[in-house]
Amino acid sequence: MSSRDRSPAAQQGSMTTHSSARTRDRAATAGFLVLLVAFIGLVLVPGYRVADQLSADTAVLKLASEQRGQPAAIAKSLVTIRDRLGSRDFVGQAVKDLGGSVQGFDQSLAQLKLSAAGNSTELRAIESLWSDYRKALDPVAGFKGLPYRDSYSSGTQLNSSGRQLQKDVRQAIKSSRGATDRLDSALAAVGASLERQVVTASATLRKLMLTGVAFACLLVALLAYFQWLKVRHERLAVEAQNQTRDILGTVKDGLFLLDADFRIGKACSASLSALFRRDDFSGMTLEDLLRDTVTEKTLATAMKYVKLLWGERANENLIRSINPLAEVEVHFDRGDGSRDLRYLEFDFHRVKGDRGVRHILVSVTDVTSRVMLARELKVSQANAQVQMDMLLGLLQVDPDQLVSFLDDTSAALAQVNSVLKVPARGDGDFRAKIDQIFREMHRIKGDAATLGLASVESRTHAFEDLLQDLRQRSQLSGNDFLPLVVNLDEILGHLQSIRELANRADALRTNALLTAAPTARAATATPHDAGEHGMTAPLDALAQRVATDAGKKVRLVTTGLDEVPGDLRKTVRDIAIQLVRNAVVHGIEDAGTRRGLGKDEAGLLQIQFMPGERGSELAFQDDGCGIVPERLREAAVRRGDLSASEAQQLDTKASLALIFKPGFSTHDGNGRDAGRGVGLDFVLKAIQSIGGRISISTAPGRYTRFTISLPAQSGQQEAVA
Amino acid sequence: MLEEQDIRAFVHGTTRYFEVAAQQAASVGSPYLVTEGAPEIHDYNGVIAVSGRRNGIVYFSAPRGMLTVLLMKMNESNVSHEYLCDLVGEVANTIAGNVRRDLGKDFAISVPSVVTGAGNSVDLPAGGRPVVIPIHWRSHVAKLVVCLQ
Repeated sequence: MSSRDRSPAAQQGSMTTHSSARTRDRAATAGFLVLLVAFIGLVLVPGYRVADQLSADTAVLKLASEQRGQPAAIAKSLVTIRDRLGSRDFVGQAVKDLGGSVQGFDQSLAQLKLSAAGNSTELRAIESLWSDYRKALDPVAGFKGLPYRDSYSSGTQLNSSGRQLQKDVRQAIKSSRGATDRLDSALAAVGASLERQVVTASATLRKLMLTGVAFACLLVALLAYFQWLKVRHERLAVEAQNQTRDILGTVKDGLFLLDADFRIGKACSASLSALFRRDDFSGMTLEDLLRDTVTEKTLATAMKYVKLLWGERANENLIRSINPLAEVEVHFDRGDGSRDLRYLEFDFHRVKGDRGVRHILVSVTDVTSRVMLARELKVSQANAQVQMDMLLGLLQVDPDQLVSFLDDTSAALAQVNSVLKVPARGDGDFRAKIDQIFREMHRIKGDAATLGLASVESRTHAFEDLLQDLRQRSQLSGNDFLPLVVNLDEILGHLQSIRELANRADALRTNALLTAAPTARAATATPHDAGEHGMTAPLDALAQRVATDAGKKVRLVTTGLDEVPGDLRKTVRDIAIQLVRNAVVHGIEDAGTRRGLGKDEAGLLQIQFMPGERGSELAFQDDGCGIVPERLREAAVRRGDLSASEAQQLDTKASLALIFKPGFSTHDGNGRDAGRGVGLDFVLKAIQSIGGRISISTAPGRYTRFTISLPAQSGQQEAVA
Repeated sequence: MLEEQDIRAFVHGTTRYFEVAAQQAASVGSPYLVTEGAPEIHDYNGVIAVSGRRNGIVYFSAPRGMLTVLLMKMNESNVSHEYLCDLVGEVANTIAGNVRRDLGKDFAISVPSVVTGAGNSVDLPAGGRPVVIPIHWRSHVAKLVVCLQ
């Protein structure tokens, strides 16, 4: 199947389906990507941020909660320091604890400032409070050294730094009374604010998680859809692959793709192997494929043609019209030295892609049967036309005469073949055959002309051309006779066709007679009943045909031909045919000349048969130009038959005898009716073969008369007796 | 229908063999048709089948005497039946080669087969009149028979 067998609608439909599938796939992929990006942008990133914030807020909330006890701890440390100062106890550890608490609160405050509550009013209030409070705490927390001095006299007393510390502690305790509650309240407010934020963040995170789940479901659905598409595509691909394999395995055409290097693609139809009698096409180029099967000229033309197909601007339809491989004769080696002749039809189609021609699709079809059938049809049509023409011609011929002609001609051709069969090696042997064959062929030609069988007449004339050519050659061999055998075979075949057609014509005639009215039967029979034994009419037809060909006019008058005995009839007819042709061509002048001579425009031919007891006489006379002995002698000298001196010595009788010499003719041309020098030679031989005699009387410018004495034949003698 | 060119190719192949192998030319006798039955054959016959533009059979038929002399002329003292068979097959093969060369790819010609014995016959295709071309060599006469449809 070639792609041209697919309808354009089908191709369009297929292309549309593939295109929409591709678009759908692309849209699905784009949708998936958008969803993925949205999922990341709208769910994952915000979720991460919210979770991160939530985590931070939770930590800060915890910190804020922890710091709520810090002001109270600071106040307690201050009280401890005051008390210890009063009891003159060791205050170092209490001061150190206070310093740690102050430092811890500083750090916590710094962390709170970095948190979401960093800009809150409550934190700013805490900072302000703490800043003021810190001023009171710093001298206490930053105390170094010993606050006591010991003496024997007064025991342990506060030294100056101790007294200052005591003063600072009292001041700090005083500050702590207002600051501790306010700091606690502020921290509580910050904690509450952070808690609200945590709650909000948690709610946001919950929503994001729900959205994420929705996105995830959607993505899973999309992934499932993609998977389904993939499976579907794979199934379709496998199905398409199977279909392609089935097509390539079943299609009777050889299908393959050519790349830009003219290499055959890997996928080929199975028929390609049968078409080219080989199994492996891998790596082969088109040139490799064709090289041993077509002529070099065809191969070169084909490669140029395929190059043209790769041209983007070349019109494919125009290129296809000049395809040199549209019907190419190929030969395959059978393996036994012989070759098989096939006819293949190559069809090329360009396979186009986005970037121009991608491949050339080549389809190869074995059209041997079609080609052979077309040839046979042509031949049979021509034969049918020829046979029809012949059949129509044969219907005009008297059936008896036709049968007689066919029998006589078959016998004559058998005689010709017998002459050929006589062994011959030397030039003389071959030359001797020519005259014998010439006479037989000339007689057949005369008979055919008489019956109006132009096809036989032309064939025998062509045969005579060959003989004439051989006669003029200086040396003869068997090779020279090959054309004779070939032509003889052709004439035999033609006669066989005529015989078959004659049978059909006879059947047609019989049917016509059976179905026609009696008057019609009489009319049908009339043409053949005219004349003497049916001999005059054919002779007259021959005379008129030869005269027309020669541009002359002629009239035939016969007497006594109905009295020709049966066994002489063939001889008389053969002689009459040759003499009629001879007289019209050589004797009768053209109409203008005759008018000038005071003669009737139409030349007169007279044939008279006179039976007698001791034999018969056949007289043939024309009122033409007569025979001029001098012209005969000149022709003999010109032909090389006689020297000039020998010609001069010939008397009139001997000069007239020259016209019976084989191959002798005064006619310059080489037409179908004269010029071979065979007709009168045949007449003489025919007369001699039955023991007859011939004499000539002639008067230049007036007439020529042949008088032929024929001996009584056995049948004739019995009839006379 | 016969074609002169085809027959000439076979005749030329035959005479060429004698010219080259025997160094003594053969002459072609007067060819004729066999209109009834099949041509008589000689003792040894090299037969090739022709197909393609024409289909048919061509064979070279030679008497034992001719082939014996031909072998001796080729300085071969062994003139046994097998050698004579080989020789007539070789003549047929040479004819086939010449025809392939002269007529190109139009003709597909089989490898020769050999038929022996004057009483045997070579099967000819129906519908063709065989042409017999006598081949004269020294005092012997062989025949080339061409029967193409």
